[in-house]
Amino acid sequence: MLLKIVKGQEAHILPLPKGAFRSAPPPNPLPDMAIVNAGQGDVRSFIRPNVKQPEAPSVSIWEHGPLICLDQWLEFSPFERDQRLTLGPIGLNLMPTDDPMRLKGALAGVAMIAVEFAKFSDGRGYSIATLLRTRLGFSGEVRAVGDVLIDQIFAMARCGFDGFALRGDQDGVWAKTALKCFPAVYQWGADGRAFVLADGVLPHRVAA
Amino acid sequence: MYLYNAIDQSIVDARVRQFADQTGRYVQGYLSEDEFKPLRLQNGVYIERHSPLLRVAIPYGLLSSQQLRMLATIGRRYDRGFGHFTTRQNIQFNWVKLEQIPEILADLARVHMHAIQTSGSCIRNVTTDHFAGVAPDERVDPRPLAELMRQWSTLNPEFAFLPRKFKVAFNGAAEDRAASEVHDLAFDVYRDEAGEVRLTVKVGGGQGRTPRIAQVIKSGLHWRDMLTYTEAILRTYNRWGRRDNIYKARIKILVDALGAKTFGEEVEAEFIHLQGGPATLPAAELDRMTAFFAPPPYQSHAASDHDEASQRIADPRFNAWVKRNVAKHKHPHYGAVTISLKPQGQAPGDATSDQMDAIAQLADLYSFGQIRVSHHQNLILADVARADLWALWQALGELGLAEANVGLATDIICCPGGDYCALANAKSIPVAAAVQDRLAAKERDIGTLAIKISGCINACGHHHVGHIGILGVDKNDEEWYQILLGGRTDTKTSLGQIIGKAIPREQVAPTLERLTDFYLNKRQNGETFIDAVERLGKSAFHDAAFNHDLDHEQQVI
Ligand code: SF4
Repeated sequence: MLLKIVKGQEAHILPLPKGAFRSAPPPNPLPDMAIVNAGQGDVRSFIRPNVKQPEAPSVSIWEHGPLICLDQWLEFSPFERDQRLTLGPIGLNLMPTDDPMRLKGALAGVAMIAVEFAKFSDGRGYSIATLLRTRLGFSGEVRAVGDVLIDQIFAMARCGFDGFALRGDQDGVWAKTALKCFPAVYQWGADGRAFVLADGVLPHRVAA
Repeated sequence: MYLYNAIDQSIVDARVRQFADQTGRYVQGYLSEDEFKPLRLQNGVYIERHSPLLRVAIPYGLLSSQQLRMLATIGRRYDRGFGHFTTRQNIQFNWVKLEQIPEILADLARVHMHAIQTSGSCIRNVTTDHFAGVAPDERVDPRPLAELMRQWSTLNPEFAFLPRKFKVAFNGAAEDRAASEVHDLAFDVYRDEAGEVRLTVKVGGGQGRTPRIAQVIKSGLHWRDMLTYTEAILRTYNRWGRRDNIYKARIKILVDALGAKTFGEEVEAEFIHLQGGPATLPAAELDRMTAFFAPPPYQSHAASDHDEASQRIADPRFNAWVKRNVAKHKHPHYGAVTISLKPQGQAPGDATSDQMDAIAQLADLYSFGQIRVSHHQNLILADVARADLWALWQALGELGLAEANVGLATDIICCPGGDYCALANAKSIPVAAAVQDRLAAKERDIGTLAIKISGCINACGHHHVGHIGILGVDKNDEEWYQILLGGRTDTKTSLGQIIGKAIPREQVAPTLERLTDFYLNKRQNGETFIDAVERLGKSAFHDAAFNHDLDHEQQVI
């Protein structure tokens, strides 16, 4: 499902076709709290120094058809781009290693950019969204796709994401709550939200 | 010190609720092990060898007596009656239960404390000089800037999943007591001719597998641009730092790969877009923040010098303690007192709940109700009237906390090592104990000597920057130790070098004794151990330590 933020409105949930979001992983076993609380002993042998890097995007379509990857889009001539546009809204796909700045001057007609989170703990997507919003001024939808979990969407929204193709096992109601989990924020972000370290000393910042 | 306002409180309270919810979902099986792990780490929760561990943030090492009492209470209520002060000016509780952690966090939030970002691949707790605000060699008190950095980095949305952890340190004095040059990002704070606060920015320092000294990429940065410039550094790192190998993911590897100059240019190219933008700090913000760190109402005690002098003559133990544990203060009638958490027979950096309560009370009596934690794992009462030193010393003596060993051989920095840490190759606490035993009798003669012990290459015990460093290594499933020599961080930073082959545990203390004996024989004109190492060269010390008459068994390595 797609969690969608529209400015000035409550976030809402939309259906997504299969293939436009990552499906649910197998269910988790309940942790054995006796074991957790007894510690893990020597864990050195479990540490995997090599983190597998993604090769292919985990979603390839959106509700308006296939996603176009960055290289392919940049190779299109202006004519080809216009032709694509007649087929419907254009959605691009950015991998964590893609440099969004290459889209400078090439955003005309792009309705949606899907930013791939191959793994939720790969933080490059946050910077990609920030750049799309603040440096390139992209005003279409910036959608998080892939390993999109409710515990990260608050931060994602702050970086300018307004669409979240939640992983198949995520709960939509919880997701809406998660978007509101902090009543205030300290730092400037691409979402344009009022922040604490802002210009001028706000009267309510005086120590309580 | 900084006091939370309603907004700060609301953010920390929300984080407590969020983490309670996350823990609950993990316990109920909604969150997998892999998904919960980064969430708990970003809140300071490790699952260690024998138990979960909670690391609580002590921003730039500053505590109120009320906060210290809360830490004592937490130690008593949820742990085994003690806590461990770390080399990053934090405290950790070694024996907590996972399901009780939300409760602990709620207790902490009541006294303006949290565990946010004390672990995980994010911007960690900010550290600085433990004598900030009181040191005579200070140019600028870095704490207001450190607090601004704390706020900005707290729950920063863009940089919560960096390639690896990111540590920021501030130094505002001639002597770098924050070891800032072994941090991912270091700020040297000074005032320009016009009196404006400016920063020299260094990146890429660190210890661990690839020890590096941070390199300057910018000087003369105006404090207003501190956050925008940091944002530019972090965005560069977040985008281009390696993620394919956790051992090569720290910013130092990126700086190495690009060269500091190129890295600096990348940052500058990013900074151009941010400078003057919405994240620029407002002009009045530093004043507002500085007011929180204003000096306490010092009193002049004109006659105290004389009393102190006669007390020092009257009791040599008091004299030794003043000499080692009381540092000079900006105000001539005050001193900064270090309470050594390294008495023999106790793990370095540990304090019992009773000790914490007692120290909180002494802080109320003698030091305006504030305590600092140093990265040497000691506690500091930074504003003690010299007239009160005698009374304070006696009170500390009754608590068994008057050890006069600050900066000496038994003031060892030591990570928790194999007794607690799941990553350890070797134990470090028993090694510290053996070295203390061996060198205690000579330590006054030896003088200033920084011994630092880590149980593995992660270097939580800062072994790279010890005058003598000890590193636990694994050799065919046995615990062995490598000796390093020549590291320091005081007026200059240098990294120690490994000398000799790894040795078994029982050889560590005798080897250190041979090193210090060699120094005692060779020193000239009152030079310190580290000066002698630099003058005589490491190989001379190596020979003294390793090429001596060993019986055959010890020589088999
Ligand atoms: S240095 Fe190694 S053994 Fe020591 S606390 Fe750090 S990770 Fe654990």
